Amino acid sequence: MALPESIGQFEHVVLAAVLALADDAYGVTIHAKIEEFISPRSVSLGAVYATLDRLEDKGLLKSWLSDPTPERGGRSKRHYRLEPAGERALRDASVAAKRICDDLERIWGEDVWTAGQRWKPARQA
Amino acid sequence: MDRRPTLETRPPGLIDAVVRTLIPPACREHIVGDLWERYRSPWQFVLDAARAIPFVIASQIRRTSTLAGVVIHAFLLFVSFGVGAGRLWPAIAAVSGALLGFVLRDAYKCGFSISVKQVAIDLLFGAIGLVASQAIVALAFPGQLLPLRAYAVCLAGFGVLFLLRLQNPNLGAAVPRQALTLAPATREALVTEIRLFERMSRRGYRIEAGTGVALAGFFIMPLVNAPNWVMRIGWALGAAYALYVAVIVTRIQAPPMADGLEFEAALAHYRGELERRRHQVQTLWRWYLLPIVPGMLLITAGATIEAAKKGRSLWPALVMIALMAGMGIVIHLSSQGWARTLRIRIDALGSRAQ
Repeated sequence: MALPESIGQFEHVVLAAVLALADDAYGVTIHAKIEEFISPRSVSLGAVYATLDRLEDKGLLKSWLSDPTPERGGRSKRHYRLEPAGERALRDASVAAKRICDDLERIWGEDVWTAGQRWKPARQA
Repeated sequence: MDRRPTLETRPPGLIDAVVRTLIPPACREHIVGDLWERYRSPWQFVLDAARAIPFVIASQIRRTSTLAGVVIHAFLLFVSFGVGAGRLWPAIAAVSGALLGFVLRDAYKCGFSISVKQVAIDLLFGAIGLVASQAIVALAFPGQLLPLRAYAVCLAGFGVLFLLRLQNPNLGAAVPRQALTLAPATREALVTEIRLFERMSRRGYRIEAGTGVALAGFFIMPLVNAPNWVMRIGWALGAAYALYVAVIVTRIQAPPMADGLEFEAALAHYRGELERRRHQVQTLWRWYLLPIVPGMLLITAGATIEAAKKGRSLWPALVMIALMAGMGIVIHLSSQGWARTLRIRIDALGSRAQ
């Protein structure tokens, strides 16, 4: 059986945003969801478009244009949906991330999420 | 927070027009719509667009330009400008400008260049890139301008690119996955696609056969004037190869599909033709690339013997062999990529047939 498509960290976040938004996944909402996920960092809209294009070319996402809406100057939205291969890739990446978290918790001896809140670079610690 | 603009809070017309022009047409509709939806002030709109457009152009270039296509363009342009200029840096500047023109043209055009007119426009963009690069060089490094005689040789390079682009509409562009996996829904759409495929195939074969015959005739001159027998045999093999290609591409042409076929029959015929083409493309190295090797090796060996006799450096021969090997690898990889693309299309049509 062929190995599932491997994805990078940002691709992982984009796929998760598309899955979370379900039927409302298009450029603006995906960007907002990603900023919510990676807060306090931010990301440019262009980087999101480039990643969406790449994921679509890999066959992990499917896109289509909706009907034009007046608040967008009569322009359509490009909606995105996960393909089965995309769901598989997202699941694999999430399992890998979970394993990393579990291992870090074992090494640090505390909850990764709590540690993440208190973390500071070594020089400032 | 509701970010939707009202009629009073839309971007200024001029800024909107500039932004629309800069975004490639393939993604203009939804990206301009998204920028409008996020609109809060002219400044924010400009900033949003400035942060999005470079990524969008880069992504579109990635989608429309294949590495093999860029390498083939660069090689042909470099050979023609290099021969014409006789110096490295002016040739590099000219190649970069023309290449950028071609790459941007591919990113900003809608679909493939199928007609002669569309291919001519592609070349016009390459020429504009060349002129722009020369304008910059004239301002920054006037000593590195292309000499006038180089433009005459570059016409030959552009001529070869014209034929190559006419023969391979996808030379400069990757086929979008969506277009590959979308199977025609009606008989009319299917027949239109098949007729276009047949037309492009016929034209490709004709160009290949014509080029083969022309090259065979062209090779006679060096064959007669070659300084030693090794080179003479090499040029003779080269001429024989060119004729062989002309004959073989005429023989592998399939007759056009009969009129009046039902949807299922037309689909089966088309899938068969695509499968046949995929096999030809996949085995290109065997019937197209390998037969050229003996002739080219003998020509290079003959030239090396002459250079050794006259006490000249053997480096040009080594560079020539490396360039030929590199081009062979690029053509092989490109054909394998094309075979994979055909496989996706055949599978998509297969799912439609079931």
